Amino acid sequence: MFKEWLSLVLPGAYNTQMVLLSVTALGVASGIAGSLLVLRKRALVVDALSHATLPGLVAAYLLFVGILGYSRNLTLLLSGALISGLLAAQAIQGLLRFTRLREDLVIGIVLSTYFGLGIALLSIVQVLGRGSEGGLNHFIYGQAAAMSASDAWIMFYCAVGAAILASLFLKEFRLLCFDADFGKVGGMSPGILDSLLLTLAVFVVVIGLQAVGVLLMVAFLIIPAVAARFWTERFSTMLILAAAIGGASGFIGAILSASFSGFPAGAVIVLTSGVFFTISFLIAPRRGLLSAFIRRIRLQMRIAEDHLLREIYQSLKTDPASSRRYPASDLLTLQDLDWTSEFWLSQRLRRKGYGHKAGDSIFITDLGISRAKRLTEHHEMWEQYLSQHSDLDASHLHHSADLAEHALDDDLADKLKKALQDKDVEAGQ
Amino acid sequence: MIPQSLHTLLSLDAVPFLTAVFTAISCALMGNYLVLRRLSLMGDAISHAVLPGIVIGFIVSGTRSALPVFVGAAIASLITVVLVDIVRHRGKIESGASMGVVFSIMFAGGVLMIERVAARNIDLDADCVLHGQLETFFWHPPTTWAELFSWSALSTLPMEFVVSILFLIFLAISIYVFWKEFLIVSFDGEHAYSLGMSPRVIHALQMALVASCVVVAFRAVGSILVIAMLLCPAAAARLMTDRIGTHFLLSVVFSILAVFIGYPLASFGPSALGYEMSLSAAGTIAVVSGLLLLPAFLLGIQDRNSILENQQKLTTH
Repeated sequence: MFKEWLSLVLPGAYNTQMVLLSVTALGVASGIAGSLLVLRKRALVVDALSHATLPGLVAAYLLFVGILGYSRNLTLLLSGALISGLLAAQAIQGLLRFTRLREDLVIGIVLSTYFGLGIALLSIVQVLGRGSEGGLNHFIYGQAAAMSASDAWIMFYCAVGAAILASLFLKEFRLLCFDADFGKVGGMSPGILDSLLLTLAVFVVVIGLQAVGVLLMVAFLIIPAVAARFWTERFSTMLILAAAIGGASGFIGAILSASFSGFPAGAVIVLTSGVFFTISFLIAPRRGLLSAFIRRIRLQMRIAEDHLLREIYQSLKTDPASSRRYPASDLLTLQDLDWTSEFWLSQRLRRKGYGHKAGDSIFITDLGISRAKRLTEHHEMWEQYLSQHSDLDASHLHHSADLAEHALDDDLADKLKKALQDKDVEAGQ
Repeated sequence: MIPQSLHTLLSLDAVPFLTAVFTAISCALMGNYLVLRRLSLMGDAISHAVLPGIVIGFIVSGTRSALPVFVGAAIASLITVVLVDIVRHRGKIESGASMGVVFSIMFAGGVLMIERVAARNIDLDADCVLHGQLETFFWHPPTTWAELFSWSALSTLPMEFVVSILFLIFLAISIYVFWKEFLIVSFDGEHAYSLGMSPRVIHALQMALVASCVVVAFRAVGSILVIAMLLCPAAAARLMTDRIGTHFLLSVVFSILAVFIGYPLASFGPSALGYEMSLSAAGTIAVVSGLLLLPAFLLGIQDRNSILENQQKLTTH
């Protein structure tokens, strides 16, 4: 029944389907745990812990397979990995508590020392000649395709379990991420919650070892979370998005690495999530590069427009009889714009109904003139305000007012006007 | 005549051992700056992130020529530093996470490239990333003492060995020449600026030197164990002194100690216990350099206000 259902929605043989399903579940768990880590600023601690799972993994292999002669048992191997990861967390805490070394340094020390131990132990396994048979090499760079269906089932259950565990403590974790001191009042101590969070993270790392590998598993935790961070400022939305991105990266990456030989699963999955990250970083609203760029252009345009209108108003005041027609080249070169910006500026004027550009002239409408008048008032008001309320030298007033006036909306302008009038009244008395 | 046993030692162990010593000293020297400038994570990030640069260098040169690899690694580390900065400031992502994202994507790219290249039989494989190839640095020394130091014998030394010693000399001279600049920038960037130095240029120079250390160490100990070589000796020195000169001296002593204990332990330890095998020298050296923190801690200075400081450290994190 289940197998039939599976083959309806997923490609490939049963084994491949199970791998796809479990890697997707892993991605979901990674996204959730990773979001918590990123928000709690623990990303690189987990980098150390994930490298530190290697000695435990290899030691468990040496003990159970090499010495006791058991057949390879995934649960035992992963338990070893989990234990050494948690020991590394203790080592980090200990070094921080008892020595003068700082956290960044301690992370590097624990990462490299534990990994060194893992490599030394791995050389024993290679001498025993069973390393490749036991598939220990797969745990380094990840080999999703080589997983058996039963291993995939274990991974699937553990990933779902981790996701559920994280959801159960979501409220507590949320407090921990945003306001650890307040959380203290709320009941569970931040210390215990922090340990729980790190344990959860190491657990997710460990269940992903076979598919993604020791070296890249931490990337699979962090990258979906950071990608999700670009899209939202809300905790719950970020978690859901990160879970979705993690799941999608796992699914797509596993399909890609299964379809082409010689593409290590871990690297492909991480690079897939890297694509999600890059897209998010570029196009996300608010935090994305593109939107930041557009915002900057808009602001530039608005400033240029304000200056242009004010310029026109000045010449109108000196020569009220003029035909409301101004040489565009003079006005535009004054704003120090390149030709694309000139184009956008004239578009903007037309769109707002302030005027339009025809040939080498700019015509201005009544609306444009009233706007120009208001802008000039704003500017003068700012100058006046600054001259009364700040220590700025008179020669700097114009420039400072130039910088500030663009942020002045009508509400604020009215307030300012009132403040200045009050001041005048005071001075009059 | 060179006795047979000594000849074996020379051909099997002498070159890897000395390569490890020179590499460890170079890394320890630059590690001091990472530790003092609180840039340890940058060492972590660069060591992972230069991998694609190294691989591209290998592909471009197609040979064992060192220069393209250095250039590739330097470019990769520069890209990393710039990208981390963009993600952090433009994307407003916390520094640890932005570092983690950037260097792990670069590293994954490097791993993918290595797997593709390995299929084309270029002298580079994924295992090298893990533990280097220290054990493969064989040398066929001549059989007589007279020939030992002749040009013809020395010119057959493995290139990795030659590069490690040349780089150490280069690095030592650079540090000697820029001693004052490096220190002022490390401790007081604004003061450096007022003296007409550019903190940015010197920072870039330091990071390029760290990237070079990673490249030199790549063939010897791989991408990850180099972190131990960079950070552990300097951390041990940090536990024992507050004086800058002593700091550098101690870090060199600890790096040499790590290799002097670690290498023989890996090569001869198991056979001394009756097992016919040897451990990974690179891994063992990394473990020993980490364990050397313990004597450094026991012999080291205790801050008068260390308890207070540690508590502050714990609460601020």
